[in-house]
Amino acid sequence: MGKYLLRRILQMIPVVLGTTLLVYALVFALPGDPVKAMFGDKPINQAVAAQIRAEYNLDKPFIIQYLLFLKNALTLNFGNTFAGQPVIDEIARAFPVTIKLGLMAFVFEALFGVVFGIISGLKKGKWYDAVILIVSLLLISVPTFVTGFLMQYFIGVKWHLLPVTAGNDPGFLDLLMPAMVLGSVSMAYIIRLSRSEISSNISEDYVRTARAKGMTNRSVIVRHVLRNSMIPVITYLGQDLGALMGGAMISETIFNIHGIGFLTYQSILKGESNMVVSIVTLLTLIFVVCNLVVDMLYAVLDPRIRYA
Amino acid sequence: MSDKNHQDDDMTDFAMNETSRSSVTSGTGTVLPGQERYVASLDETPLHEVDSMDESAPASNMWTDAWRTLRRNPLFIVAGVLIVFIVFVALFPGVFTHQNPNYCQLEHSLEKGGPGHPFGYDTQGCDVFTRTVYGTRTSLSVGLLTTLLVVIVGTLIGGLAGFFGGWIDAVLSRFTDIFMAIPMLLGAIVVLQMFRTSSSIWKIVLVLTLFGWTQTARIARSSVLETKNLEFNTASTALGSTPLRNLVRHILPNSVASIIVVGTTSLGSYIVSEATLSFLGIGLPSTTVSWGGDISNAQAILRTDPSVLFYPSAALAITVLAFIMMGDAVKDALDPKSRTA
Amino acid sequence: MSDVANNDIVNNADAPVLPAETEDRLSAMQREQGPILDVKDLKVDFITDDKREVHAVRDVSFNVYPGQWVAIVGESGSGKSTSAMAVLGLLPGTGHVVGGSIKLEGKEISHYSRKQYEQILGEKMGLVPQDPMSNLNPVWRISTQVKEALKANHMDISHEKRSKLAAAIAEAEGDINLKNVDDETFLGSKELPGLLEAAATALDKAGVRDGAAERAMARFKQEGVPGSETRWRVAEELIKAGVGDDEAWRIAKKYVIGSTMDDRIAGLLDEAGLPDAATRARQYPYEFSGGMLQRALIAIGLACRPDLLIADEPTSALDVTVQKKILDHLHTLTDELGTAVLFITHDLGLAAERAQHIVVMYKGQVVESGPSLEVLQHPQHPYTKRLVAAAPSLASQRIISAHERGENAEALMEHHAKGEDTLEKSEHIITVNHLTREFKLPRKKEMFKAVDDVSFSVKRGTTLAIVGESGSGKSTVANMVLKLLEPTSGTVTYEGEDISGFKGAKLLDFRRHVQPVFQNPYGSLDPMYSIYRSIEEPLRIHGIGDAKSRRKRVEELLDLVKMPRSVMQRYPNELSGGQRQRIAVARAMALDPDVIVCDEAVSALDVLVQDQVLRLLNDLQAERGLSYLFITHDLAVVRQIADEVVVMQKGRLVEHATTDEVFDHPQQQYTRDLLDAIPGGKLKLGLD
Repeated sequence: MGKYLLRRILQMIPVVLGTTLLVYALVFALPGDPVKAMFGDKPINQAVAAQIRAEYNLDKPFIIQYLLFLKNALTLNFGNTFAGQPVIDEIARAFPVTIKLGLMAFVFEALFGVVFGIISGLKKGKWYDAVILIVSLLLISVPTFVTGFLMQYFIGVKWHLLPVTAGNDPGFLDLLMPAMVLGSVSMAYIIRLSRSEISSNISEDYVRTARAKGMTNRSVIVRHVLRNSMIPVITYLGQDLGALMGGAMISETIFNIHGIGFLTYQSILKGESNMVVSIVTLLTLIFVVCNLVVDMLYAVLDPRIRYA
Repeated sequence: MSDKNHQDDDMTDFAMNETSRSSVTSGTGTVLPGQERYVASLDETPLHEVDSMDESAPASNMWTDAWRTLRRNPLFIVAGVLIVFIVFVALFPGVFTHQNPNYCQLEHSLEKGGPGHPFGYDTQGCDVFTRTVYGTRTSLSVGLLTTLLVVIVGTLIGGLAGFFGGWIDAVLSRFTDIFMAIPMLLGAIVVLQMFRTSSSIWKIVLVLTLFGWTQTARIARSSVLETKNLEFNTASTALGSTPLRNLVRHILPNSVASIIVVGTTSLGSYIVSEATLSFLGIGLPSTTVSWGGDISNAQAILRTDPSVLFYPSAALAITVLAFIMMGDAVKDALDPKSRTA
Repeated sequence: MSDVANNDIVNNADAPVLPAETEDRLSAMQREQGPILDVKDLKVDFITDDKREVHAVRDVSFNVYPGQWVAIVGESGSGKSTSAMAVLGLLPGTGHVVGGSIKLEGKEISHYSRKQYEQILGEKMGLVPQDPMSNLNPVWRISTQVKEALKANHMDISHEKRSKLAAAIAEAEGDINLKNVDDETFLGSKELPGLLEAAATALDKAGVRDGAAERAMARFKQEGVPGSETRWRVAEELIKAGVGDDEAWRIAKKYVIGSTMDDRIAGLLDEAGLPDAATRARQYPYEFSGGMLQRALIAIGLACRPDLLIADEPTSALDVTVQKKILDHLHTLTDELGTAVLFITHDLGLAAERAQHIVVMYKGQVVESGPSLEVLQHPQHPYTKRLVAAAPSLASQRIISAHERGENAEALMEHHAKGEDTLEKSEHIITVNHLTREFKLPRKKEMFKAVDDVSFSVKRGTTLAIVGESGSGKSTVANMVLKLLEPTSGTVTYEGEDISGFKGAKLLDFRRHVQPVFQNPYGSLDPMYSIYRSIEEPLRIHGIGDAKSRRKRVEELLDLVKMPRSVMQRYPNELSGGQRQRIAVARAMALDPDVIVCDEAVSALDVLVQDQVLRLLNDLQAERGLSYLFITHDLAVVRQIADEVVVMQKGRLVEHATTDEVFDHPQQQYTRDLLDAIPGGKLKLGLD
């Protein structure tokens, strides 16, 4: 297990380096001048531009730029915004609410996804299986922002069940609807994944062997069908935890939540490249770390992985 | 070793067990009731030629079988009809409306529907029906072109990694991991913010391809790895075939099925991604008619006039649904093991 | 009495010498108790995707008496496994019983609900399934999976209770007769050292010294398996070794006071023949070999001491010697436990050797049944006759008995093996010299020698068979001969030339003359290629002929392998395994090769189909003077095809001689083991 962990961490290093390099290159090296973008439609003040270039090391060769960025990033020094605020402070301000939102969405999708997936997988062909399937298909087909608007309109505006927008310092109820919107697509995927895993595992030979032992249907299902079916589902969930943070943008925009997604969106509109690259780097790191955790979890759940 | 039958006072049982074996082959054991010699009459079970070929059965192969399965699948019929209709709308929008989607008059702003304008007008006074019809082309083009490019790039990189293995595989797999680690939407936003003014759909297609090829590459890699080790490849090599010929003639054709499945399934998600980007205002500019953009514009008036948001959303949802259902149906047909229905 | 039965009884020291009438007593008892399982006119249907009914089993009747082995024999698709699963209430998918009756101990169970089946499975009926690799859940430890069986049938509770009771009694040290509760009081691992010490002292006291004492102690150590050895057995052993009755019982009562669950699990696994069971039990299925997994499955099937064990091809996936060991073990074990066995197999020889009564099934129906030897010696239904004629194990048996009676066995042989002198005169077409191949194992420093210094030569127009079990390196040799793999050292020469230097046109020419036929009929043809394209492929690669002449050639080749020409437009998925193998032979023949390397070419096929393909290969050799390198794990098949045999074990060549020599005078123990393991090899067959 220790060896496996070490191997995975070693494999992670080139991925982290490559990903940050890629993100950095996309922002600062692509055609299209980020400094020019900062000025937006205003005329460019050459002196200010030069100052900015120097501040972000844009006057140095690309690879040096990247290495300096990396060095600064390691000390969480991501530079300043146009307004002179340290980028890291802005991020630190926005992060807690996104984490809250992400975790709520995660719990929502895990709970309902797995429960409905199991119901649907065990009772294939029943009417509620069909309903669950159709709803999950719809959730996947309808873009998140449409789902978001519809929920906002009906649940918030028309029926006044939940707050329409979240605003500053939102509480649990404020975040409930955004979290459901954020988790809805993944929930649908989890339903489909659990369902197909269960229906393929239930015809495995070892399930028949378990029945031949005289075990009750309940323990056969729990110990042999569900236990094995949940391995890929948990893998999916783990990867999704990292992706949820990045995907929060839509939900945060619709419900006016001042989290990381909102910040990213605003920074893009304002052309704050430095902020964008910092956030994307951070989110990518979170994603990679989540994947590592998933791999570890996977090895715990499936003894074969440890061996291979 | 022992059990309940091994008791001194239960010698008969013990003896019984030992003899059962000796009587097996003795041939003189008394026959127990119900175990008398029985021979079925030949009329009841006509004997067939050993391993005879049923020449009357209809010919079939993977594709005809898949087609037969598809035809019986209601999911496929519904999705198929929808897709044919959507493609038709995209190709010939003029059949459905004679208006120009960009012909907007502010005086019609938010007018209710009437004859010739069934869906009414949006804030700018554009005909919602016309814009919905013309939006089909944008979404479909982005979806199809992205799928095409993703399949080409993904198959190339995944296929090479799987085929060559060794360090080439290691390098290409890490390369894939790097792109995979960047969430598609975030990556797309970072790149697109530099090209905000371009109105070409190609910028969307290229950006989605840039961050979308990894899944296809993974599938292509594992599919090639799996097929590579099948005996017909070894047989071909032993017949004098070269590795490259094997790749082109045997391995790739056998990997096509799984690539088609992933392609069809992800087509819908590219359409959603385009709409999302346009919704965020960094996709296509408003001069290009796009469902995502229209939905974004309609957001502001959601509370007063939700129907303006409804029509493009419904069109988008139906299109994506059609492709996702098609993906499910194709998956069922080509890979009976992973039936979702 | 056959040799097998005799040997086993002599070997089993515990077996009492049976007077002649015991057999009648057994029959009388069985007659009196009635069949434990009685299946009458069983009908099972499956429903296809397009809602059609398929009759998988029709009007099948058979019964099993207590303590009896009954075998159902048939090819794949004959309905034998379906019948067994119907009895267990475990029919897969859409399968369901549509008629007839299944009686277990006189009670009708065919209509039972899942709940009712849960009550009888495990306790009354156990299953040993077919494929060991897929029948254990990969994510649970072996011990957990054995424990489930015990728990499901409340064996843990009653056992624990009994242990406590026994412990209480042992404490009381009274004169109560313990025998009736002792049967399930197992030796615990904690008490084992104490018991051994006490036994040693007792022996010493009883005056048993030196050699006798050492032998007795060795025996105690071997027999004293925690969780399996019971109190009365311990007492019995002590008494047998010379300890006085009272002292023996005192020791047994003191030290055998019940075992823990873990001990019991290890005991069960040990009974099933798993070495080092206590440690092994903590491992996961992927850490086990196929044979070990099968033993774990046997332990699970017998854990709750069912009255009837259904063994569904329990050893088909294993090497022959492992198969024999496991079946011998299962046989002894079920006999000791008094368990009846319904044994499902495709191998007629195996069925006749193991079972008292056999039932032959064909296309969902019983075509013939009766006492096994009688059916085997005097098959009456044409299908049974075919089976008996085709079974390789029985065929070699017939040849031996013909020899013994001084008759000419030539007429019985499909393949007329060439004598030593003919072989000596023949020219060597392929020579393998000191061939060695090493592989690097993942995360291991030292190299693994898959093939270690192997030399032999294939003579023109003859067949050389390489026989060995999995891991013997035989297929690696085949791949090196085919130049699909380069040797680490040593050479392969074809027509006197070292093939390692072949490149370009020279290599293409070599490929043209040396062709393979591989094992897996489902993998060796590209599913995307029509039969025509498959057979045409070699012609295309070598640029032979134009479209028209190639078509003609493909037609000829189909005629050659006796397949209808109409098959050309079809695809491999429409063909049976045997048909695909015939297509693979046609493809190999397309370029008129000199040598064909058959790597387990008939191993995956049913006996009748196997026989057919072997005949085809023999005919082709006779007509065209082909040379074969025939790789197989099945020594029985060798007799039907080979002139010379090379026996391989763990990468080394163990024996190399003519076929007759190997069969009649095997030099090495390993070869003798392989010969012994041929199922049905020891049966005396009357020749019909």
